[in-house]
Amino acid sequence: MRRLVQIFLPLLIVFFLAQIVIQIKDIEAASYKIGSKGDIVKKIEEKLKALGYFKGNPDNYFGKDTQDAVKKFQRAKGLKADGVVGSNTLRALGINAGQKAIKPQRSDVNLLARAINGEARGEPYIGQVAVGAVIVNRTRDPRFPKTIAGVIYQPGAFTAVADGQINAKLEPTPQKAANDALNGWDPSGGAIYYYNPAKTTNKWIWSRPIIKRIGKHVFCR
Amino acid sequence: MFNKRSFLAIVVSIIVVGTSTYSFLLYLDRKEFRNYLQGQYQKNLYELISNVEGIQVSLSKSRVTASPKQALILFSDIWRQASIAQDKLNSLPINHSAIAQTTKFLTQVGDFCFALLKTINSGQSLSEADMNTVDKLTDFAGYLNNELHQLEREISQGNIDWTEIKNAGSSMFRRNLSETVDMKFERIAKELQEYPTLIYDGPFSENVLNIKPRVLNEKEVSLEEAKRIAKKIIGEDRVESISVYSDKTSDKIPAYALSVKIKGRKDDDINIDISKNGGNLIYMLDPREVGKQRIKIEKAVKIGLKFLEENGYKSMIPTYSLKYDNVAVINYVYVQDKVLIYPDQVKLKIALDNGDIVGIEAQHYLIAHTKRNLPRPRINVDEARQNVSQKLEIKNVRLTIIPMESLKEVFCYEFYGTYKGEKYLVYINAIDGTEEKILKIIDTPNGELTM
Repeated sequence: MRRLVQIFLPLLIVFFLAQIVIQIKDIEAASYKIGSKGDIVKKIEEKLKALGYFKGNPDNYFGKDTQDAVKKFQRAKGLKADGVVGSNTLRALGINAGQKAIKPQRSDVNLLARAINGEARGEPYIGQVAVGAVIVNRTRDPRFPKTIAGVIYQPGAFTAVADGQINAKLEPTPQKAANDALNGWDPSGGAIYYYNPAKTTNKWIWSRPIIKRIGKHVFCR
Repeated sequence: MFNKRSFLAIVVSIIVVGTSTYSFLLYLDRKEFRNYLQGQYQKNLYELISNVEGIQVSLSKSRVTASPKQALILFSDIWRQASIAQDKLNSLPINHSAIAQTTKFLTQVGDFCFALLKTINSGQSLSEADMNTVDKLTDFAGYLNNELHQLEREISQGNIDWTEIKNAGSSMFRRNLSETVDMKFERIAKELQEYPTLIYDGPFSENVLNIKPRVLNEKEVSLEEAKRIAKKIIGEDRVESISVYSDKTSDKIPAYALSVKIKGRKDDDINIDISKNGGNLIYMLDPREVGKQRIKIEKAVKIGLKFLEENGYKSMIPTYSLKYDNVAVINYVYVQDKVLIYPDQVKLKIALDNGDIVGIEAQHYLIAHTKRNLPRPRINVDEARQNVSQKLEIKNVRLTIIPMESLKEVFCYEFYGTYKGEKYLVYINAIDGTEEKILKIIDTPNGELTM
């Protein structure tokens, strides 16, 4: 009994703490407070100066003077006056933290890169381009949704969406592969399905005519 | 001893209460998520049903209308509703093999009606054959509508939980649920297989889907011959050895899939596919890292031109280029008798560190390229200019052949012009003066992109 408790108690405590840490981490993302540095801090200070709350010279450092200005601004806007610039305060300041200047990008290239990243990271380069090409080919097949997002997020279509791998850290190669696939390169030879023969038990997919085998994946029609 | 025991008891009860509260909260959380998901799926189902109903009604109305204006409205309505229905159907957690046929039906109905819409819009009237097809499609839409209504009734009675269906196969009970819906759609698919083969002017038309590449008529080459061709394209002196990376059993263009080992490289083999018929290049990709940019895009364009000429792609001109991570992607188009043939295009990826060709895409060229009998324009540039918006300030005009979505080729004047600082390409049919297409050129960080 005692041993059991000795083993389980620390485990449980660690478990609960981990939960709390995870939640806090979620909340704390993208906030700026005393000690923060960077372009966004300068932007915050410039905005505050323009609005008359900040007296100093805008630099990249979040100092005590910045904090005072932020508190004043927050009070005036009816926000929680904690001197920390979180997403609400950023929005109130009219600062878009995520992207710098919005330039038109080829649509869906990032999403496609994420799908390739989640599905075929570690595969040979043409294997990654081929996975991207399968997604592109599906948008041109009447049996599938017509958009890249529709194809990728179709329920049950890709394991990377179901297990969250699509949100994994994006590596550079899948981005290159996504560009090639959108630019028309298709090493899959016009495939609209692929599977890993070592992992798939789905009988139906085994019956499809095979076009090619690249790395771990079999591409088929 | 007693103290120790009660201490233990307290600790244990704290743990028990803690975990059970925690798991109960998790359970509530999970339930909330599942209810939300169930709601989303139900919403998709009901919207699918109402759109299919709308398609059926509009199709049947289009048979009895006498006015082209009304027909235009009806067909655009079907086109819109088919597109929504297709999207909703594919947002439901049903096995794709079960809904593929229904999806195809919805896509083609929408696409077909859009083609009819364009016909009416150009002032022509619909043929008897088209109206017969509409007739048949109405019946199939009616069948689909009935089946979906029945499914809806079963779901609302039996309380089918979509979130359970998603995890199909984990228990007997769940499997049954998922099979009900899957089987339903498989039965619908069997019935829908009978709908007429649709041949019309649109991207999902049956004749576009089953296009036979011209290259298939050419003589078959041996693997050794293919290796020799690959070696020439990549450069005799760079190649160490060539192997086959995949056996192909079926493909639109049967090919030898080759992997080329480069002298002095450990890995990063170059992949290249050579068609069995005629030994033509399909694609090539070199995955090597590309270093800092040392040469200008203009230089790269020239390198690409020289490469194309040396490899049998004569009379090509560059049309646009994009730049990603020190690699230029340059598009070359075939020119015949001073007319740009846009369907015959080859894309090259050129490394801007040393000017190597690191990618070739020639599949589109292979499918489309042929010696064409070009017509003479029936209207001159000035007449064509009349049909371009006067707002556009024209900078350049040239004759082109452009591919429509249906792969139909149209002979056009291409007007390049600007309006309010933005660039546009307007295509005017050189035979009858119709404005066929407008492309907008968008500046992106990677270069100019047409949309």
